[in-house]
Amino acid sequence: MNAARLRIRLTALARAAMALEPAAVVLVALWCTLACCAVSAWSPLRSSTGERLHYLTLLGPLMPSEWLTNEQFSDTIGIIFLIAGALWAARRWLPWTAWCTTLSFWLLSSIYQERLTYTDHTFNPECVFLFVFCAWEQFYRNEVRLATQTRRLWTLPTCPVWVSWLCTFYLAAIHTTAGLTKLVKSGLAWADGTSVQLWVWMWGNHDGLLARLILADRQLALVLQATTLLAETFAWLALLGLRLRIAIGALLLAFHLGSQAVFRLNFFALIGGLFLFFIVRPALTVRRSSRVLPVSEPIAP
Amino acid sequence: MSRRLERTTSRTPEWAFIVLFVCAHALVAPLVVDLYPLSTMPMFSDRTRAITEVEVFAPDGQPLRAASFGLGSSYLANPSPRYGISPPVSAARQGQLLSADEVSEAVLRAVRTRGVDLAFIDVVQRVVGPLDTGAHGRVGVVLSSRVRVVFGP
Repeated sequence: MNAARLRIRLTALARAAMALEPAAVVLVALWCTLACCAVSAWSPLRSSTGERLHYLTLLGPLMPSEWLTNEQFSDTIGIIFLIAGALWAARRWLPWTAWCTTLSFWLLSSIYQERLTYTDHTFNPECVFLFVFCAWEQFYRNEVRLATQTRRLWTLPTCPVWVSWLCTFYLAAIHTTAGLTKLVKSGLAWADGTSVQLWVWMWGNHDGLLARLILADRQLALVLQATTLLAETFAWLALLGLRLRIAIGALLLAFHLGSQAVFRLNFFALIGGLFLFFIVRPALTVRRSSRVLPVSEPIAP
Repeated sequence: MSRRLERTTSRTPEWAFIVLFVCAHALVAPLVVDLYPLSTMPMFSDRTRAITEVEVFAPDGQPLRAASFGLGSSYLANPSPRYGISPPVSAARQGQLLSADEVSEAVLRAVRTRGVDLAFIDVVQRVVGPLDTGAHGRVGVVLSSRVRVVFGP
């Protein structure tokens, strides 16, 4: 591809990313994320004792050690987060409440992580989604304010496509890197069925039907593991087309719902994000486009 | 209402955010692997073939925390984890049984400084791995042992 064609393609992509769409899906995602964050912030903070080997967070080296041990400090940050989050959900004093919510949750969750032996990954999608939604509230504050005042935030095109696209990109990126990590560390033989049976034995809810089926049949365990590896490694394909995104989203969603049923890992923000950005939004876009152009495949994002 | 609201602010910071976000998750995350909120989600990436379960019991049969006796599991299903606070010291080896001497040594080392007001403890170890019997391929206990560690003058 020559430089001129590449430039034309990039310009078209940039224009598509900046196009405005109704904020309905993003608003639902925002409320779901805030609810997940509130549950995380409300949960009692676990704490490990011992010598610090590494920082687990980007903020770790910047935080005074007293912040990590002072319960009153983390409680105060938690209360600030809950109040600011409630105001953001109610669409009050934006974009300040969005910033306050995002930064307080980032700080609170970083304090929590720094008290642990190993990263609690359930916080990652929650924190990343908050940053994306906060950026939308910041950069489109005037449009959002006007739409809110006229009570048409759900229907007026006030949300740029890049908000949904960055959430989709993030979900595709973490799944792809998760799949590639498995391939690099263990190779294709990762999907042998035995390892997942052992994890279910060790950490699974043995009363559940899926756990019992996995423990009873290695072939089933192998098929589930191989499908997961395939869906994760090729999750980046979701960025190339809407129908492909729905198909990959369905596989990843099935994997996460199965994991939730068996392991109770509580990746609720991740599950909600997959449902909204890999299933609902592309399905709505396909439906909208098919009314205008019944044959053609809409261009991602 | 289909009218589009006009942009009133510059787009440069918006583009800067998008580029920074994409670079952070596509380029920086694979380099740092796990540095919250960046992560490549490396959990469950190992291919474990057998695990070891350790249970500790008081003389009256009450279960006790294996980690308090230096026998807790530090298995994370991640072959190269980034540790924050150091994990508790444990003599347990994944997929293997410790000998009676190794169990006694680990327990006595763990209780040396804090003491213990029990006459003895029973340590039950079980190695769980694939069972080759049966058509469907299950996992189950392939090895086990019970060691009594006596505390005394």
